[in-house]
Amino acid sequence: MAKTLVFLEHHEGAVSKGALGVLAKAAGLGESAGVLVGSDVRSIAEGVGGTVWVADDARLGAPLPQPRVDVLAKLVRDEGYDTVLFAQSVLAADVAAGLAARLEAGINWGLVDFDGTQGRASQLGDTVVVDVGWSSPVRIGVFRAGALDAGEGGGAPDVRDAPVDLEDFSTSAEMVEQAHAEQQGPSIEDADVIVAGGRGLGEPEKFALAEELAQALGGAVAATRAVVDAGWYPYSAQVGQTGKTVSPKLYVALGISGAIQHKVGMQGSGTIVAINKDPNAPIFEFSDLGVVGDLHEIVPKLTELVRARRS
Amino acid sequence: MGADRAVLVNDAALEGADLLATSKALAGVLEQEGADLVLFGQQSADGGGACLWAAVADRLRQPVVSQVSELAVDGSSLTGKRQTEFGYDTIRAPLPAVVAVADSINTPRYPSLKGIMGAKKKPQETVAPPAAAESATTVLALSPPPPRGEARKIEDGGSAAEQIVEFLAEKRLV
Repeated sequence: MAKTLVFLEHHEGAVSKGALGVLAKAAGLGESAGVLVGSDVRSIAEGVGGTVWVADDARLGAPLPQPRVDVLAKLVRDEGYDTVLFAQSVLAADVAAGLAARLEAGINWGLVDFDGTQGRASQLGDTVVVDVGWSSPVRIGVFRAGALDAGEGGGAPDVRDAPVDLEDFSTSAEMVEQAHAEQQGPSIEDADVIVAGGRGLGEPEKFALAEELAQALGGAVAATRAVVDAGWYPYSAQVGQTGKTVSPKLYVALGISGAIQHKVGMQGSGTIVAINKDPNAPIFEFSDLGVVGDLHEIVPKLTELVRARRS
Repeated sequence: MGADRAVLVNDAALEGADLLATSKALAGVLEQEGADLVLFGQQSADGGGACLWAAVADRLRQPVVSQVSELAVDGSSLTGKRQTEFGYDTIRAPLPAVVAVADSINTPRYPSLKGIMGAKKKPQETVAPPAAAESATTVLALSPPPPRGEARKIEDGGSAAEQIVEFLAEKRLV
């Protein structure tokens, strides 16, 4: 029977939904515990339920991966955990891979399921489902974002102090500044329809095309990382690996090539319509309707037609 | 593109190497190289784990900064601006260090003819990893993904907007 430790990533005083989903999964597999790492994080453990290790230390305040590797590695060694599970995120991936090297433990990612000894993962850009195993004494697994539903809160947790014993190199990187954008407008995570724009829009002003179509369809506007980094659209609208994961009923992609780091944020959408002038754009490989053409001609017409239909 | 030297880590024993084994092979060679700064790209197009750098950094016992979209390096330290799910972080780390850049860090220029000719004269070396690296994960079975339903692709011949609306109406999305 697996003895599982789950990394509980937290932000603004709450454990991430993804991590709670993994914790619920682990609870069904045998002995399990969560581990919360940070500064002044004890109160976050309330309501998580089950056993929660808390590593609370001022040096752990910034969300940097390497001190977290130190904490998790010590817990695994001291307490004999044979499985460590994560919910995919920028931080979690770095912690998981660092821990794998530290413990010489095999790591599988993209997991959608795990039975205690074997996992199931979607790989190679979702072209194949792989049943994966581990040959090391400790297994490390990273679940895909949104793969699991968060369980019910388990009431009062059994909180235990995790020892904090940090390596010099783990604490040599320092957070200088964190600029976390305020949410602007309704969250795209809740929208039924999303119209997303990428570099193919050509210039920032052309986001108006996406906004008008979104308005006609009763949806929200999203953006790719490339245009957010270029300052064309606010970060709160970014979909992808380092942005939001969305699953609307309809996702309309305008001038988006469909790079893997965008795909992972929107592949759960019900229906995907893509307009791109490049017939070889990867987005066509996972679109339900792919339109090869000039979005600057098609989208204004499309917006008119949708408006006419709805009025 | 401007590199002075290329090192290819190639060994029959690395066939099918998983992340753990790859990190060990790379770290072994990097240790011999003694680089001040190790740069990784966004992620591979196949496995796409987007975390190999963290395993390599742990083996090298060096700081790691990932998803970096702006990078400045001075004599003894680096400052990277990176993106996470919540916004932008600016992180400073002493050298030597491992950095993974995001693909938004720049748009690679096309190599010039002069550059291509120059690259042919640059030393290229093939090395085997200094220590055996064994994979710790196994592939048990492969199966096709659940079908996405029938996908359609059209070329705009002037009526694409109408065809999109018809498609959305069929799916009861408009």
